[in-house]
Amino acid sequence: MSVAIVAPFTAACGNAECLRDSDCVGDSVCAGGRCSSLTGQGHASSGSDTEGGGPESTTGGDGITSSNTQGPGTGPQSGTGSSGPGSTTGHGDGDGDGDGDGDGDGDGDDGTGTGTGGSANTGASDSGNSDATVTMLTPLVDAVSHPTRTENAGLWAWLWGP
Amino acid sequence: MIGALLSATTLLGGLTSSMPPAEQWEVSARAAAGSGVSVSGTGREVLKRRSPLTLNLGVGFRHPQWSWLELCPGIQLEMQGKASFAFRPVLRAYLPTRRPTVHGLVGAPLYVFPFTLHGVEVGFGVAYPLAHHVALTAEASATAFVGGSDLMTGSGLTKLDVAGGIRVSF
Repeated sequence: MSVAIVAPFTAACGNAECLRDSDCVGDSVCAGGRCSSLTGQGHASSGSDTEGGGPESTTGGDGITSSNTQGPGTGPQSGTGSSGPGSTTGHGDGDGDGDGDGDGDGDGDDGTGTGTGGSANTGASDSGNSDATVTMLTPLVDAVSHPTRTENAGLWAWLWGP
Repeated sequence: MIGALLSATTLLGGLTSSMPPAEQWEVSARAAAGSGVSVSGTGREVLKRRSPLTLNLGVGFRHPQWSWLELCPGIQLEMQGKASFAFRPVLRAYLPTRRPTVHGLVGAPLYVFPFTLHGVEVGFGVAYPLAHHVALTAEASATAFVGGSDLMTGSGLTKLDVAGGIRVSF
């Protein structure tokens, strides 16, 4: 049985060594002494394909009047690949397959609205009694927060004693 | 930190001084920081690393009739890695020594945020009185975590830690 010293408090990703889940970053968990992702997404394994392009025509004309109708590529310029499956014991190695999707972004018109202002407060002041506990603690808190020279001396005398 | 300790000192001092003398418990507050070694195993290998720095805060209660025994509810905060929070009740048994005082301890740390982790802790410690109400403390403990969401599947975690701090008696 071997003994491994795990580097302390590093960003444990991929197959970094670990003792607990909290040693791993993100959603990774510690399994078998290694950090691994439950979703199979290893670090730096997100795939991206740049393949694309429209279909090419393979039908050609015959004879002298032959012509190709090779189509222009209109495929996605960059695809975002989804990472491959991983296991809870291994590190994730994602292989990306690009599937480009076009997204439309529209800007909506600004809405218009009218509002009526609230009514003014009449500003009645509270007339309740003050909290006795707060009243009692306020001088204490003030004494601790802003001790006078006498209070400071008293506290230190109490702490250190004769 | 020091301000909070002084506030707790003043507040608890006021509370305990209002108790009847016959039932007056000895109350103390303590704060300590510690670290050590964490050990776990996978069946094929033993893994070790330095334990995250922890901050222990607690309030100790000793009944006058059982002054050798101290019940100390407290909390433990892991300050490195993923910051976490635990309840840490500890029972200390003091030997009849005066300077320094020596004690054994058993505890039950229970991490509740952001993950769960629970185990049993045993250890010992010393406290060296500096003044009338102040003492320096040092403790060594072994903690076996046997359950919780933070553990590896099918594995446990053992921590061998030491902590140093201060205790203020009231």
